Amino acid sequence: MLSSVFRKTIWDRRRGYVWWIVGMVAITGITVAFWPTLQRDAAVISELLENLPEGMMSLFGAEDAGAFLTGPGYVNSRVFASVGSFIAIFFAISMGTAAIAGEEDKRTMDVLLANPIPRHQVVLESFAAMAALTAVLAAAVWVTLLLANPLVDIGLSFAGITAASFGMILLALSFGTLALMIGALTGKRSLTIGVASGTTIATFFINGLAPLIDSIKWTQKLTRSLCLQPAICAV
Amino acid sequence: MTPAIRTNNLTKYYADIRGVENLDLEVATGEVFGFLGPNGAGKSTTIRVLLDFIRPTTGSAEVFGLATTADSIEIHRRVGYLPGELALYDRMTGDELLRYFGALRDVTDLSEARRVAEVLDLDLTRTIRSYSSGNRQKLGLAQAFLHRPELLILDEPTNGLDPLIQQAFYGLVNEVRAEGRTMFLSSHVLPEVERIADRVGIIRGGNLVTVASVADLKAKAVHRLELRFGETVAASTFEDVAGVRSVTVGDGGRVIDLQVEGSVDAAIKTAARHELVNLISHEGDLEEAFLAFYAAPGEEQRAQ
Repeated sequence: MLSSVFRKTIWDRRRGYVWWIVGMVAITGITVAFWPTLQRDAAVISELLENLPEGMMSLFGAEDAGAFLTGPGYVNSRVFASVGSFIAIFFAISMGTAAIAGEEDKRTMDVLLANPIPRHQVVLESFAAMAALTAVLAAAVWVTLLLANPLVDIGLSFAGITAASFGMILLALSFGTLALMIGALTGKRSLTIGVASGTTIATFFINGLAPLIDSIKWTQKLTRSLCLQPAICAV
Repeated sequence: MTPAIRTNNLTKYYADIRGVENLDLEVATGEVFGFLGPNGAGKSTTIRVLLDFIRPTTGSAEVFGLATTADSIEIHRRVGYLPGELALYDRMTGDELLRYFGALRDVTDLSEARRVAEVLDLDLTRTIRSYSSGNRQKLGLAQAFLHRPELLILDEPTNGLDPLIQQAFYGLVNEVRAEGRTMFLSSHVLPEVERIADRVGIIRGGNLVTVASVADLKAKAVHRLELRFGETVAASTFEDVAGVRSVTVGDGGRVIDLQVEGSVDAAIKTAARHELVNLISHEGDLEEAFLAFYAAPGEEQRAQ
């Protein structure tokens, strides 16, 4: 197993990773499981949502209360535009940080680079490991939704689930790569986590609030290109 | 013959802070070279330039004739390295670390590393997290020896090793020498370098003070003798004795501290004429032993 930087990076995750998967499946599963209840009380919830400030709806990836009450809109809002994507993003950030900043922080970089491997190889293999494990995390969402879809009759399409799950990988890798880059530039672990997480949260708010505020509306072109609301992009 | 290591006017500054200045060093293949200096003198800076972890501000360095900045991968292939501030992957076992680094070097035969671990009495089945600092150091040495490199660059190799294990390490050094391989090791402990190196370079304040064979240095080494007498002894008793450089009297004339250069023979014979209760011989450390000799005249006071 310990035959390359790529494999070692995955090996490093062998204990914690299963819990990321469990968490992701649980969030997705629980969200979908609530769908029938939500539908039964649709009238009440609809009224509740109508009274919410516009910004709140926008933040959680629903254009209006109506979108939230469709199956795809609900899953998008609860999984892809919020908690689920956050899990994927923070997982990718943790791997992107560990790659260089973590290695520097633990002072193991010297002894690693004393081996005859080029520095770019360490970066590329760390990135590949991050991409692989992030993809599997998104695949867990994909499988959960594919299995749950017919059970609760939530009306998701195969193409929609697939596209949104794939979008989740790209979204998470954007921020994971940002962390990898900051880590490579600074070598400082807490700074890397702070800036990458801060950027994630700022992007989330800017993207959510941009439709409501004229002066920052243009930023949506940027944030949307990150596909922060992948299901809306896709479904 | 191409030297194993050569630095040409090597200077490294970290922003405004001095690392090393105008260092010209040459280590021949097949020799064991001790790089001696107090902490912060620039030993690790020099070593890290050799491995291309940091780049010279001016000047250059070569290993086996290869420029450190251009051919670091090839250099790494031929060099085994122990960092001064060693950190290893806590969650691996010793054996896993050796397998990982072996794989990165395309070395599947780990017998040499395992042999070194055994010589140093290290249990490779335990996780690194559970290792004492001495055990980590042993593993650091084992991974440096792993691929039987032509050149071993070891930064403070005996750090944290207990005396018995240090002896075992000296045995490994002798093997390296006997096989005609080269070793460059740094230390701040004079007796150690004296014992294992062929030649010594002394660095202080970022400058190479002198390079000399161990035999030459031994002749000048300074010991501190602490003599406790059962009677009062006058300082003047020792003042003209061969090798004695300074005499300090304490406890009303019952304790005498001597700085002795070279052989202590004459000093001991003089002391033995009085009722000697106890004798402690301190191996001269770097500051005491060398800096007084090699310091610039203006700095002599501070060195002492």
